[in-house]
Amino acid sequence: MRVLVIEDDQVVADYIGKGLREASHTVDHAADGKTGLFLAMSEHYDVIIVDRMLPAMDGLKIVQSLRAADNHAPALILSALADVGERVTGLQAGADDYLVKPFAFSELLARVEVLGRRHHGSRGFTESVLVVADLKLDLLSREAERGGRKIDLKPREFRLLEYLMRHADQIVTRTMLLEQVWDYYFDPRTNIIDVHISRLRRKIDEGSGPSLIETVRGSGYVIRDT
Amino acid sequence: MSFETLSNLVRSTSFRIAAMFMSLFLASVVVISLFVYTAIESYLRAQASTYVDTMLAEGQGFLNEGGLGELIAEIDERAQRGVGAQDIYVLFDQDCAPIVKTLPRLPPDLLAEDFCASTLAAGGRAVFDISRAQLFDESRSPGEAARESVVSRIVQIDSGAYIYAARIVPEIYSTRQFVGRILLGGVLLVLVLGSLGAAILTNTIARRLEKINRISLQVRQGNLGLRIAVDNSGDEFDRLAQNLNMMLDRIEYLVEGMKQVSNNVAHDLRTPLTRVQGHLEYLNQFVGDDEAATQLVQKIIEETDEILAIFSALLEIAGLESKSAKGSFNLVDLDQIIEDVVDLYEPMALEKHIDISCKIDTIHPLRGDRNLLFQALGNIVDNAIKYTPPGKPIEIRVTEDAGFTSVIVKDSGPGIPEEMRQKVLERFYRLELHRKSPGNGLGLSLVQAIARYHSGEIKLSGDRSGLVFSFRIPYQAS
Repeated sequence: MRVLVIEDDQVVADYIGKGLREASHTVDHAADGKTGLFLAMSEHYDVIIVDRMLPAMDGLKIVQSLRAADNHAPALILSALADVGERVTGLQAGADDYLVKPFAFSELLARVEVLGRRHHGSRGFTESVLVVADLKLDLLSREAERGGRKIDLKPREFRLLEYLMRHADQIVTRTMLLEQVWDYYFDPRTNIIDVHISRLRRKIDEGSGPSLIETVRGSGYVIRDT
Repeated sequence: MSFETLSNLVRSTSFRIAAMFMSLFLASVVVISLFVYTAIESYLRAQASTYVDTMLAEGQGFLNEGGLGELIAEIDERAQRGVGAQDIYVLFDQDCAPIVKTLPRLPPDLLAEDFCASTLAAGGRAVFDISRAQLFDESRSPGEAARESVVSRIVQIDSGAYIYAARIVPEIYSTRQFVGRILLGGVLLVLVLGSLGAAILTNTIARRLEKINRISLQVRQGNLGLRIAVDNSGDEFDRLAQNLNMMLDRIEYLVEGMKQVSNNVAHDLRTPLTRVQGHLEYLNQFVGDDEAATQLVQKIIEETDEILAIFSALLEIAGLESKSAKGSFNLVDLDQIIEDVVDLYEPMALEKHIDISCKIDTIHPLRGDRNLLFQALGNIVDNAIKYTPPGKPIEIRVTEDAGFTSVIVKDSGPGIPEEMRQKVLERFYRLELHRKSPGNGLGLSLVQAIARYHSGEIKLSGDRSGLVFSFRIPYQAS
């Protein structure tokens, strides 16, 4: 993926850039708002990471300008402003995601990859049945089955599995799950999501083949389609 | 005035001081009146005594001039004419039997057989009160009870007879009445003015003290920035207020300093730590297949995660405490939030075979930040699950009363001793028996900060059979 990083703090920019390149993405960097907006408008990026407070033009303004110019490249705002209200402001400006500094790189990477893939019309957004390996999830009849065996899921478990399957082969973090499946924004800081995952895993794997949901140490979870 | 405010009033120092002063005033009014009365009376008596002596001298004159006959004639004549109605002459013979007198009626006391003998025995002088009705015709006397004071003296004359002279001193009686009226008026005046003064005193002192009390209470509840109004009058209340304010300045400075230090530490260490974590993740890729090294790096990453989490929590608490802008407030349904909390934490409870029962009343929506509220309630439930032994229940109640919505979570854990309850809300405080369990001692501080951010409060109660955690925040009925 091609990623643009608009960030004035050189250390943070290097840190992000290095990490993204390690994950085999192409990275461009702009150190101020104006250059950033120029690059974002003139080039095609899969994801734009933009700091909130920037010289010349602040991050919100950049996202607003992009959207006003009908540029819908997925944007992730990075900010030291932890207020929940700030997140809302960021999303209202047209950003697709919001991450508070400091962040674990794994969290950023997971979010960037999900954003980039989503933009490419990744799987599942128009389908009514999601399939991963021998696991099938029917979004209309709200039924799940694996290798012909019906799996009885509670509504929340269904949503959890749906989110994982929509992002098959992508790492999703615990915070992302809390945001997307429970619709609450904060760092859970406990292993509460793990408990949900392990219950879900038990139901899916019961008596059938290898485990589909993998734990990625230090990051989160992934459901493998391979 | 309700009974309570009345008993409060009686208990107040200012009221007691006022009451004491009023009693002192009353006593002085009584003492002064008595003193004035006594002084006037003895003056009047002394005067009357002198007058009586003159009367006796005059009688002696008649005796000298014309003997007993002349005196009797004179007394008779005076009796006939009724002159000197205030003066009384009585002539007794040797045996104390009255011979002649100036008044048509004499009080029976005066005519008693032993009167002149006992008077003589007492030195010849007699001072007594007598009712006017006994002295004069009833028809002439104003009022039955009216009494007159009489000053009299009896002396033996040459012939062996006794001459008795008495003067009625109506001024003594009227003075007595007059002073009595002054006394009554004075007492009433003291009562009225005293109560008024007491009310003003009580009110002034109570109001000023109440102001100080009110501020102290608010400061105790954590509003350290408040100060008592100073009027610069330099009186003792003003000085008290100034001293208390200086004390509060000092306390605030210390508390602020402590917060500032911990915030700065958290803030300044967070950035380098984040970089360390980045480097570690980078390092992780070089470790490759070395299982032991991978595990070690992973462990270090987890530890730094934990440190970062502590710093984030500290900064989050500090942020909530310093903010008053409710930018993120929206109408939220607390019942929905608690249902979501239970939904999120139930699997964790089920693993310990803990049953969470939830009873939710119909409640108003309230203005708040749903994410923060979720986090706070989540923390409470998380704690409840952590400290409840397997197989025991947890009860959650959501109720509404007096403008507040309360979420009450009762666990079946060991509870928290009463003296520790305030402490567990402090940053980093952990009960000794919980030191070994995971957690950083910031969870409850965060819950408290979130409650206060919503103008609410948290309260811990319960006993050894379980902790009762109540989270109360106000709602506005539309």
